[in-house]
Amino acid sequence: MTYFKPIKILCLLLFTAILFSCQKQKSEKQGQPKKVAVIVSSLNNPWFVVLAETAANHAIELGFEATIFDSQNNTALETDHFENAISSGYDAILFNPTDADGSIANVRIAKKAEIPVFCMDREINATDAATSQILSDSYAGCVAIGKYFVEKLNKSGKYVEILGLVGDNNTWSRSKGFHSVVDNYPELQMVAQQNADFDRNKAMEVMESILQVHPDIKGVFCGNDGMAMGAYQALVAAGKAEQVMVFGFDGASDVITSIEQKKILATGMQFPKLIARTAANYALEYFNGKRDFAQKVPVTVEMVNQENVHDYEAYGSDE
Amino acid sequence: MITKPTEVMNNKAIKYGIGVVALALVGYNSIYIQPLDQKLAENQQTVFNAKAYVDGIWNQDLAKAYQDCTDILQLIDSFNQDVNSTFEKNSHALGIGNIGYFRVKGEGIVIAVNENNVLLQVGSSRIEIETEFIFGNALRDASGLVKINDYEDTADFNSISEAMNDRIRQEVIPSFRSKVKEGDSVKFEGAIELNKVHLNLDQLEVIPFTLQISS
Repeated sequence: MTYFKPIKILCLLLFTAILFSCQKQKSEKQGQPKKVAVIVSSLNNPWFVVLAETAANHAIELGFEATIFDSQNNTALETDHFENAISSGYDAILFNPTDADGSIANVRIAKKAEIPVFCMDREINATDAATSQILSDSYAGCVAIGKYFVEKLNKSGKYVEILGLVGDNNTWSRSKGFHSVVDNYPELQMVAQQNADFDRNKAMEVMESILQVHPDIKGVFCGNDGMAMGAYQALVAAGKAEQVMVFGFDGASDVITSIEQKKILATGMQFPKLIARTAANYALEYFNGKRDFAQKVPVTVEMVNQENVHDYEAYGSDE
Repeated sequence: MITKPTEVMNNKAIKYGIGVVALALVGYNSIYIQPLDQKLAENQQTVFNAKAYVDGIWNQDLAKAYQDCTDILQLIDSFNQDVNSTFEKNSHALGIGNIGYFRVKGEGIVIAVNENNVLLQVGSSRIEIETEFIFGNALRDASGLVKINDYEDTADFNSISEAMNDRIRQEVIPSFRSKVKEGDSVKFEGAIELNKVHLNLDQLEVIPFTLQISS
């Protein structure tokens, strides 16, 4: 039985080494800037680029180190980013989830490691995991767009809805807000409802195929601005840009320009810079000892249309 | 023992057969295809009964809140003096942003009955009473009674607004629209939504909570 002794000694040495390493890491962290991970669902959409860059830049302004991680709309990759952030000693995560359900486990991993997570723009379907969730009030924004849509289509006609990612709560909040108005008008007939994953090219393809079956539509409501631009491109190619009114959501730069040029009817202006800066400020408050954060902090959405577009700048400017 | 070629073939066929069945089973159970409209229907299923909740607070808490309104002309006057402090003192807002909701009351003379609204002359101001587009969160949020963090599911929270708006559209608007005419005097209590940065006080739009006509 003597052969167990070296193993025991080895284990003891390993344990001691780990303890020293942790102690060293902790002492090294004292006096060093806090590290903040900015994990975003996708950098393939300019809106999320603005969100991520503002969060990282504001974190740096507050004296932190900041790194941006792109989940590429993939929860498995998002898990890798969380594990990397935890093992690399990040102190807080500013997080734009990929999936309302699928991202919960990742937030819980961070919570277990006592790392605060501040969700930005997108919600997760749990109220006991993230430290706080700073969310665009997509529902209210789409109620406003729904009213404008009904007015502009004069309460009747065929229309199409292009949804975002089926697993994202914002997709459904926007759709529900829109339908809470439009469904009260029986002469407004939704002839197609398809998802295009918030992707401009997919939306263009979806719109092209819908137009072949329903060439007589009067309006298209899209769950984000990228899809609105894709739908508009398909309408231009089909020679129907004058006939069909396009409505988006986000307040992205190209859509604001398109509203000014009378190509797109309206969008819901979200404020990614405000959301990102609030998340970074919350991280600072957390480091300073605050713990009683509101779980959900809605950020208002404002409708931008052809009548008021000159009052707005893309992404809500510096507001 | 010597195995005949036909037996080997049979064994192989059985093995391949089992393999294909196993693969088919694994494949079938790994992929689940759900129609988009079914997914949408699932998302619209809520256990929370917003109508029952709204009916429960309507005559007590909500009515009391809307009896405690700011006179709309006083509110306009207050805005003309100081926008920020008027927002701070009088508005309700859910979170961060430029939009605030106000509870208001007033009395005016009907100057037009339009397709989507009734236009009142209240003092020197024109006020629009919405009768068509009764949607959104103005009534819920101006009341100051309902907090988002009391609801785990944001969809439940939003359904409260829908239930309030439905009740106004069904119980308040039809009788009002059927009687109102130019020259009537109308008393109202309701909610308005205003944007602090892009403030427009011309023809404020009131979502009514109560409407009373006196000819």
